[in-house]
Amino acid sequence: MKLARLTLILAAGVLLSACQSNPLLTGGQSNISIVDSGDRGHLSAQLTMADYTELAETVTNKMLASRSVQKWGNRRPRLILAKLKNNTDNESIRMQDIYDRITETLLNSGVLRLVDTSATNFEYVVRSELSSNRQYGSDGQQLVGYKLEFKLMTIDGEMKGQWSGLLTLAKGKRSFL
Amino acid sequence: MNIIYFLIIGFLLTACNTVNSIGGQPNIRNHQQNTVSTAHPRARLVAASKKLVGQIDLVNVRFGTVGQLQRAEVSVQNLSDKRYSLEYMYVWEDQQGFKINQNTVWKRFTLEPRAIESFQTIGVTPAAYGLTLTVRLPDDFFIHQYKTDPDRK
Repeated sequence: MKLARLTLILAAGVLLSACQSNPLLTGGQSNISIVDSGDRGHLSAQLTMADYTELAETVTNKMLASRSVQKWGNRRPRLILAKLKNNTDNESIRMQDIYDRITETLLNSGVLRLVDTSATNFEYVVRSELSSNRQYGSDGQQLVGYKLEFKLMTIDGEMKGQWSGLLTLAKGKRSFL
Repeated sequence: MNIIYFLIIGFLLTACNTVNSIGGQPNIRNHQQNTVSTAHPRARLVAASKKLVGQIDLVNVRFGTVGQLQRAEVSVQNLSDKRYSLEYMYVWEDQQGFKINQNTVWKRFTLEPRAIESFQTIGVTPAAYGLTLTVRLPDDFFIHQYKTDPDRK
């Protein structure tokens, strides 16, 4: 009788364990997980580190593919990347991170020499600016457009090229609850 | 007569030699699959979502140079009548197949029914040679959490 009861309890345990749903891939009690840095998850309509990377890469690649830069060949001119201007409605954007992404791409290309802003001997300056516009809809909807723009100037002030990249974030309706 | 026996045995034994490589690349394991399009020798498309297999394909690949750098344009076609919101990521490799150290993120795009979408990219170092383009349905931690939420109706 005892054995039968024990078997029944064990069988119930096995059956009930099968009812457990597929658990979330969060890290234990802290409920925190490490995610792929290339993923584009957003909690709000603000730029993430992955967005910085995309914007910086898109515009830098456009510049590197342009005729103005192609003409340089193996000459590797000295270039200053001026401080990135934040013309968005968000003062908390980490401009230095975007700047670092741009310098990383430019340096890896090997087509130019980056010099510090204090340098006196250089041929070109790249002026860059990040701007945004925002639209609000009903129920918390938002549409935010970000634009990163580069302008390549000679030391005489002549503009040799201009390139830009866009990124638009949309925030959906706030849920009823 | 003995020589003939030896030749026959030798011939038979060579047939026992296992084939551990496909396409003459002993260090690369090639799986027979329909999720990878390798129509071009220097570019491949990976359909990284089950629903995309047979629905999208690589239709054109062009390589060029920009100064010392490689430039590629890859065209992907939607073979279905559905409108897809997708993500793509590309990875450049050098001539030996080593991945070029590049910061890449998933980029969103929309593929209308039967439409062809082209993506242009630059191999950011002169060593860049080949390209892998991976396309998937949008996914991130929050989408995954939503999909696996047991309370979701």
